[in-house]
Amino acid sequence: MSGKVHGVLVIEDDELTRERFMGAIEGSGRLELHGAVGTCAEARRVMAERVPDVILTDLGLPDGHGIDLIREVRQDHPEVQILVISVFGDERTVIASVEAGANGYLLKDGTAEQIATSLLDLIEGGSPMSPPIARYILKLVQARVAPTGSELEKDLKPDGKSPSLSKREIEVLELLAKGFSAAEIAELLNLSPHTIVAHCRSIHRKLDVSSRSSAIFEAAQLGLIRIHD
Amino acid sequence: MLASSWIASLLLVGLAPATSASTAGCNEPVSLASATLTLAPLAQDPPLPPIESPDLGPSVAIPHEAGHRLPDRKGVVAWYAFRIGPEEPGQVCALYIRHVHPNVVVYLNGSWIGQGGRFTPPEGHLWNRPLLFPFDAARLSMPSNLLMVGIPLNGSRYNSIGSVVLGLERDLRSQFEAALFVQIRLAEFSTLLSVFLFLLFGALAFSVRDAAYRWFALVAGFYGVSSLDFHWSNPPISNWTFELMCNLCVEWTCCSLSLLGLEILGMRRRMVEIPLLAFAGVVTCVATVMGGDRFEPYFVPVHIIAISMPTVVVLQLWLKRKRIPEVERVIWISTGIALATIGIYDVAMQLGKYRGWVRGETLTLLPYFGLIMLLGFGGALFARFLRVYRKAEQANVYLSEEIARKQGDLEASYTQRTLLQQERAVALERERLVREMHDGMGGHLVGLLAMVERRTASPGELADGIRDALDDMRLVIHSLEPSAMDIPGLLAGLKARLEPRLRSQGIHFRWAVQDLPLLSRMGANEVLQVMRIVQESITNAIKHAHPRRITVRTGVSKDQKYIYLEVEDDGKGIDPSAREGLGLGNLRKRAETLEGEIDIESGSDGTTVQLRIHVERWA
Repeated sequence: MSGKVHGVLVIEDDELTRERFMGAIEGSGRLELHGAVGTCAEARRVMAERVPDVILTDLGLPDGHGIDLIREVRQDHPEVQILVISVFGDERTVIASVEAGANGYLLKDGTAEQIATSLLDLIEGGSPMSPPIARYILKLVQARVAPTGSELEKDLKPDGKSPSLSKREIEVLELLAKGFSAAEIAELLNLSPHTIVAHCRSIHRKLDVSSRSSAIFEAAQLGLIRIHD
Repeated sequence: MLASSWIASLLLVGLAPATSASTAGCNEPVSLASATLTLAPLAQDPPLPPIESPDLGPSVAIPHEAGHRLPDRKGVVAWYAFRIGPEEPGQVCALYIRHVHPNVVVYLNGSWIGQGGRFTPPEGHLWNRPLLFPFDAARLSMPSNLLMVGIPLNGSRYNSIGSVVLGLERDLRSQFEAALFVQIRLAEFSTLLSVFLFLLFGALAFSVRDAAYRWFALVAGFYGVSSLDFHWSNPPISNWTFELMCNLCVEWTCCSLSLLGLEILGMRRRMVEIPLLAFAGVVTCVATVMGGDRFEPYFVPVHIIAISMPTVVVLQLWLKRKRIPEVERVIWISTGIALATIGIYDVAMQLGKYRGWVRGETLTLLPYFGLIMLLGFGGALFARFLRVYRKAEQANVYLSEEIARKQGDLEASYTQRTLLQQERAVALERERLVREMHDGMGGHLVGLLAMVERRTASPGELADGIRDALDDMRLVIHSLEPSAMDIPGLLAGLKARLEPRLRSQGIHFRWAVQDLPLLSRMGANEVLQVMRIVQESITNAIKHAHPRRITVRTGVSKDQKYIYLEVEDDGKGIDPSAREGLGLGNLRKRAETLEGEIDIESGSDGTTVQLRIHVERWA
């Protein structure tokens, strides 16, 4: 992997948890603490000075909801990686975060080592997509190919350039959704792990944007799926 | 009888003019009261009067009944000769016969003046017709003029001549017109009405289940035929056949009328119905076989029987009038009484004429009978129809209100039921959650508490215990998610959660998960038990076996009978004596709630925990 050091901004109102994350980041040679704050306002102030590479944010903050903050950051800085800190990693929280523009999520209870590993995986694409997110993208894609005759198809057909995923890409998505890692998928499909990561990138690209979260956001905007059903 | 005949003539022609000498001219209207009668054979049409000997016959009083006492009445013309005085020219005179039968031809001084109908078959049937023959007064130029009126004597008729009046045409025209209207036009109208009502009620009888409409339609139809002779001048069938048909229809009309009355009273019984129909049927057969000419003398008694039947029914209508709704009751009974009176009167007149008790001009009320009957009974039936219709309409309104009410009730009870079901579902889910938290996290926390109180546990052990509690809580929370029923999906989540932990301990996580058949009958609780078994097996392996690799495998047995979930490690295996302490008993209990089996194979080269679930039980 590249030797680049990623600057991480931690936004977490619980002091003990914040310190655990700070410790995990400082203990990793590849991560650098950009800042650690407890409110949305402080986070905005820090970002106004300098934009971090990665944002690690809790959702329930004293002066606002993390989802709003994510949406805001995603709009101003599409290149920033945003990860959500979650206790349970449950579907509702994850999907809501991803819809707002988050790239992934991280569980609160990991050891310092686990947290650092997960963070690097998420940032560098070692673990390209967590199963709930893969499942979510799959749902979007299936909703699009399903012959429902709905608004969806009408929206997609006129321009004729709506992206469609290849068979292999859907296969990869399905395996990701079942919990297989990139390496396992590579083994199952007789491909190299790099190819799998490449497929993931291609899936994002085909959804017409560079960042994976805004790809999903865009799909939702296009009416590919009704998020709030 | 004489009195009624007198009343009848009064009704028909108003005040009768005074009888005067037969030698008067036509300046004043004068009734020609007597004539000489001569019979002569019918040779041609029009027949020529026997001018040579007009005065040889007997003198008779006018009106005169010529027919019934003659031995052979066919092919004979009865000539009535009147002597009339002179008249100044310049006036239009007229001979007015109030009613004459069947046809008539009039000659004055040997020259033809007019004719009522034809003398050769098929002859006319206009037996109740008034006739007016205008002629120029100049024809009465002689001191004594001979007026001859010829009537064909036809066996089927009474062959009578009514009052004969001579006068100026302008004086007689209005009388004639009035008589024409009363005797002919009304009769024609009632026949047309009967045809109309026959069609109307016939159509109703087809669509309404009330037999009264059928009987009334038949009454109208039969009556229409029986009164055809009022205005069908020259039917293309023989007189006798026509006569027979009309007379038989009187019987059928009476029969249908009686049945109609019984229907109205709700007294229709086979025992009454069959004799009535049998009577009309037998008369019809006998008369047809015998032929109209031979059966003719029996028509009067048969008519008497026929008319007595509806008369009895009218009596019944009166006696049982309470059964009939009030408005209809008045119409039925008043019409019935009027008709019975008319029928009795007409039959009595006919009988009187036959027997010679009644002479001269009589009034036949039969045409008015039809009019009264059709209007009265038709009106009553129409009122009946309206009543039933209104009732049906009310019933409809009531029914639709009832339906709306029932529908409202149904919707309300449905809503209530749905609400109850929802409440029940929520209560069940709440109960499940409490149980899960008690069994899972509760147990973990109690264990942790004991560890803290004994002060024997290291911080690492405590962290592990807390992680176990968190893991279990996650499973419970995930079991609430929309995709909770999807075991592979949940396994994937489990893996994503545990993988960093395994990797940080240097354990390789092998994932060999295959698609599983949908187990649609498995609820959140059962899926949660599956996940707990898998999770506990993995955490047991991590904690106690020190493996380098953990494999999770799912699949379907070769015979497709069960699915299996397997957690395999390559650790040091489980000491048999420590088995239960490691929560393996717990695993079994969970497997039992799934009606599944659990196999634990352990050796020095590792442990395999396999859970089998029967597809048939849950699919």
